[in-house]
Amino acid sequence: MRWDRKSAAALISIGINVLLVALKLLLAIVSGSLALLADAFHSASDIFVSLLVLIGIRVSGKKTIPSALRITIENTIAIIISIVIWYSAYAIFRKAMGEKIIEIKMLPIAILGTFISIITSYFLFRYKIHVGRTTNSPSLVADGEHSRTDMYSSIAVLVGLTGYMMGFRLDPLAAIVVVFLIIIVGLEIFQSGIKALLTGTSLQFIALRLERIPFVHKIEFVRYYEKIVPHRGIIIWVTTICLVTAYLLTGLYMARPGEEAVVQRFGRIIKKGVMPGIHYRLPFPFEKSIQLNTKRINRVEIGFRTRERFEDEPEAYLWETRHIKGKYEKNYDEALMLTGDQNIVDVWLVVQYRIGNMADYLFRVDAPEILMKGASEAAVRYLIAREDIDVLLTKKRHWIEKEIKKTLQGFLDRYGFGIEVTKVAIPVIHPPIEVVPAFRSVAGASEDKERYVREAESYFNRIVPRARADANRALEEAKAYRIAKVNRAKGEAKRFLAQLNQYRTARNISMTRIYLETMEKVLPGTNKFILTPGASRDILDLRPYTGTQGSLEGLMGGGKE
Amino acid sequence: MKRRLLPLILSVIVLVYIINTVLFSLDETEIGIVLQFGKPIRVLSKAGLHWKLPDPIQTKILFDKRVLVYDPTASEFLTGDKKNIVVDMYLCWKIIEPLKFLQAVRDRGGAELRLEDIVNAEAGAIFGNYPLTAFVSHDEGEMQLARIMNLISERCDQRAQQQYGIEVIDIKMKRLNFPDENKPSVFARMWAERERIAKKYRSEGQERAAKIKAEANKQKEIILSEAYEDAEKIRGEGDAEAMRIYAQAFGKDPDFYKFLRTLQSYEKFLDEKTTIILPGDMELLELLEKRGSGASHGEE
Repeated sequence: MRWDRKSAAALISIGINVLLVALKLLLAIVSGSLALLADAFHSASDIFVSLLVLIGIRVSGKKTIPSALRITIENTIAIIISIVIWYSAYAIFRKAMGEKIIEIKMLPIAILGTFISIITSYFLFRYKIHVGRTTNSPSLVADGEHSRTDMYSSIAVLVGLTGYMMGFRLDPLAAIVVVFLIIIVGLEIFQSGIKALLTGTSLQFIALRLERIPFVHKIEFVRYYEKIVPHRGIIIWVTTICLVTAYLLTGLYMARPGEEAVVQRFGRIIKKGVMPGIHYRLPFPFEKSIQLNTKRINRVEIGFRTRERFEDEPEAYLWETRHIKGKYEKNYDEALMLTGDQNIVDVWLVVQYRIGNMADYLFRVDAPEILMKGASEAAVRYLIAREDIDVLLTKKRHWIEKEIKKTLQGFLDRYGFGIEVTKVAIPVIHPPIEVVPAFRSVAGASEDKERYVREAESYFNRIVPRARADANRALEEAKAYRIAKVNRAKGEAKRFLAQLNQYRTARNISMTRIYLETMEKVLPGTNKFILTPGASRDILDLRPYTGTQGSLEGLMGGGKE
Repeated sequence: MKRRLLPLILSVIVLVYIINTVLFSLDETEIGIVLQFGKPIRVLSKAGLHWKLPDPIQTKILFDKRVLVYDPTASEFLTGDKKNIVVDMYLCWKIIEPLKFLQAVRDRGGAELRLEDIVNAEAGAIFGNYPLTAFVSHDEGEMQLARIMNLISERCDQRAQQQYGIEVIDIKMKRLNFPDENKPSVFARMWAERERIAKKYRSEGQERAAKIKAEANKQKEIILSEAYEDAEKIRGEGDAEAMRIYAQAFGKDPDFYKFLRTLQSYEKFLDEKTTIILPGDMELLELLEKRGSGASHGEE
């Protein structure tokens, strides 16, 4: 039973390794981690080593000396494989050193998977070493030691991934560490192959790294593998099943959130619109799958390009901005368009679209992006060519966005190419730079026009109310006049009537009194000359004296006081 | 082992070769021809698994059957009214008869070369029949861009189908502009146009302003004159009423009124500047004359 346990351990080791490779490969594809990919290669090279040993064992059990031809083929294959391993190591190394920043997706799953593979490797190597020691089998012990490196390499990957989670770009570094381990495995195989080739011995006697273990005795190997021989059927079966399983597992594919998948069998579409998740199809030559993001909104820019890197953004983007620096780069060929009145206008257009029908998008048109761009340009030109520059700049700007969308969708539907235009926007439309000042002066003139009218209106508003106020005042004054006049008349009438009443009672007295009172009131202030009755009125010329009281007094000889 | 391994490897190689050259899959995007010793015998258009005899006997050629987009370089044309325009078009085409296509143009590059020739020839001929206003115009009747492009596309389609087994699905005008040398004159025209508009705006403003001012003056005159009319009427009323009152009162004794009013007038018009010559024999002064007797009389 001792031998059975050993062989079982060897077989279990190979089987588990195959599964590990599949797991790591899947994780590497899903996450995009380079270190995981390297780790998968590492495990794969391990399997090869184990297989080589077992096959060698199987043959050696026969105790026949293998032919020289066979030895040569075997050893050459070993050397070629070591070169393949090196090459893969080199490819990963180059990728790791590349400029491109590796983005890792589905990080938790990758970490979990790596963790599982570390634990698996750990138990595997402990198990192999334990079995090897208890059964006194150095080969298993050595194999166990090798599985330990496998664990280390997975730990390196884990460190890389955890670092990525914390924001360090350790993944390429981890990949390089694993690459180093791969190179060592390759070196072991290469060494053994060369040695065996040179000494003309069969590969199994070199027995790879087992040779390095001093107490290994060749005879013991022979005895050991002799016992395995009866089980070679099982070995073949397990290996076959593992390989087939791994092959079938390559049929797994995944559509990420937002993606849709199409499955083709021998090129013919058999499934469309596969929703996100993990799905299965037949492996390579039979079926293939294509995933595409159908939720993402794509953009076409016409008249300009958005620069990925830019500096010196101006304070504001004006009509005459030439976009030599800043966020946008202008494309004059695209931007300048003829309007319906044969003027030129500078237009930028942004079209947003998404893939509406993925199968049509993939299989109907050869260069969807180019067509999309061409059709967008054709649509915008077609509509701009029908309108005058003035309405384009003002009233019809939004209207034309809608029209372009409609027209463009019409063009695209005609090609049947599964694109849905979600939005058309004209972020910029203005006269060409060469005539911007003229357009500005029109705006100034329009302001002037407004100003003239406003000024006139303010004149109107000043003059008319004032006239109304004047009119009102005149009326009020007239009314006051009327009232005053009547009142005064009434008063005078009353006075007269009162006087009359009195007068009637004593006519002559009153008359005389009134007369004399009036004379008293009137005469004191005046210059008076009194002519004696004898004096002739004719000779008196008063004209020289009327102006001067004094000379008159002198003339009269102080006739008055 | 040796005896079994070698034949196994050999037979696997042979099997792989045969499977590879006999069975082949045709993608959804492809159309294929099977040739027997170089002679076409079958056209395959349905995607999926197909078979043929192994390679040296029968071979296959695959073409793209999708809509192909071709964007030739922009070229300059002359319109019917002798104006130069630079036009950039793109065209969508596809292979519909792979056999004819293979014989006539061999591959996509060859096809594009010939398509460009056809398109430029047809476009040149057709553009020459239309004035510029057929390409750009705000007038629905004049604007015929869609018709022109359809016409070009139809003619090209006819020729391409006949000669190359190509269907021209659509030709569209991506860009239409004047050549760079003509642009300055367009810009000059735009300047002049703007200046005219600016002038128009200003004089429109002045016109409206003048109208508003005139209206203001008119309203002012109307309001003031109407108020004057009313005010005079009211004053008249006051005067009339006063007259009536006077007449009524004074009519009771016109002589007394005359007497009183005359005396009142004296009060008003006789002031310090008045010089009065009083005859000594007037009644008021008669007492002055007879000084002696008058004095005693006066003291009385």
